Amino acid sequence: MNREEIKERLSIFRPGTEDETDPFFAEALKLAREDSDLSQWLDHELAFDQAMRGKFSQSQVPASLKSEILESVVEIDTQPVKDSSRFDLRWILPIAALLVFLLINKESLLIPGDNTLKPVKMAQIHGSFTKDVVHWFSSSSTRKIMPASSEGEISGYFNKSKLKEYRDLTPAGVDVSKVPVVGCQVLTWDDCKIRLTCFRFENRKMHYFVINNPETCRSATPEVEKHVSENRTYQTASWSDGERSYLVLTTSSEANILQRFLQENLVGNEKVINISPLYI
Amino acid sequence: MEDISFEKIVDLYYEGLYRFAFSLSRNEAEASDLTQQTFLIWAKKGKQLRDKFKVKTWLFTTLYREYLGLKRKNSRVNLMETEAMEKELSPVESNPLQSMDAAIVMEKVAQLDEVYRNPLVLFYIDQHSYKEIAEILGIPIGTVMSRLSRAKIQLRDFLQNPNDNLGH
Repeated sequence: MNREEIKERLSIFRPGTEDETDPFFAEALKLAREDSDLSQWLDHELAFDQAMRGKFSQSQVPASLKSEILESVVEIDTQPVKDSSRFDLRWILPIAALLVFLLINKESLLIPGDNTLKPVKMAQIHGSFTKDVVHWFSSSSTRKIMPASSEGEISGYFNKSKLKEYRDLTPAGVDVSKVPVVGCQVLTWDDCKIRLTCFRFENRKMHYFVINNPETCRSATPEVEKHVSENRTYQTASWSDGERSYLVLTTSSEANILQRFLQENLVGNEKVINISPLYI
Repeated sequence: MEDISFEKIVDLYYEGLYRFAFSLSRNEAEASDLTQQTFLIWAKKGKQLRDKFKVKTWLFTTLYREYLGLKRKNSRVNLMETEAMEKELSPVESNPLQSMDAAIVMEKVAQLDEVYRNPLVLFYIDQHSYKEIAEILGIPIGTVMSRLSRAKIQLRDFLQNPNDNLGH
């Protein structure tokens, strides 16, 4: 076991608990105690944990919470309970009617129907994705983007999730593969894996989503109109190359920056939609 | 374990549950609701629990499931549960925590990726064992341990480099 492995194991060791007798920690503990540097490192680590526990126990809990819990349970206890031992005779007729219906129609009910998926309005799905993403960015939680500064880091990160990276030309010819990257993340949306690459475009941070391709997200096929969406906080531009769909989001309030991603297709026929204030 | 009263159970666990709920939702009202809801479920179904030594795990698991249900309702976009890029274990130079306010430390904890934050919070509150954390979060013990180790690396980064979060 090398020093990094010892540190990794002991970084989660808790003295005074069952960890003391856990064979997982035994050898690492022994080795650490024989090495003055590691021993000192462990002491610091345990002090850090102790301090963290202290901070957690100092964090505030609402003073009235306990009484609210006890009161709410008293309310439940005092609610009248239905006598479930008696069968409610009012249900006999509807149940009997249903059974007769099922018996009469069993032939037709057993005939397999058309199992092919109904076509879905893709613009609707796409709009829904846009709203969900904007909502996700607006909420205070789970917006952490993994920092990355090179192609290699981003490809490596996506490879871990068995995803390829796609950064192509936008409809107006902006080459997304040439812009400097600052981070990435993999998201899920309705069980589809979504690649998010964070880059800088003219000194503004952009979030670039590859929404789907056939192997990861079959529900959202790419037949969607190009459009720009905006609200007070966010702007998005989205398009499809016929195979995959893309969405770029920026927090800028300056109008039109994202239209430059789609410009050619918007001249004379702009499709600017407003995202509901609900999502701001 | 003898049967203990509802009030005693509330007394023992409501603070830990609230802190866990707050770390999940980052919202006081939602954390209070989740804690209250957990005890309501306990009041209705707790008697079915055969192993009374598992009350704590049952409560935390229930709260976590309630939270997941709520989250599913609220948003369809989630971070993928992928492991973060590897980082070297940094040596501990000093303990920056001593002088930090608890609320600030909690803010730093809140910045952790959810996959790391959840086991870490359970690790620090109520001394959950690795097995209990695994049960509560529904992940293998080995995953709990590796995530804890990475969570501490990430937390240290946040404590030492407050501007490291690119989230926004």
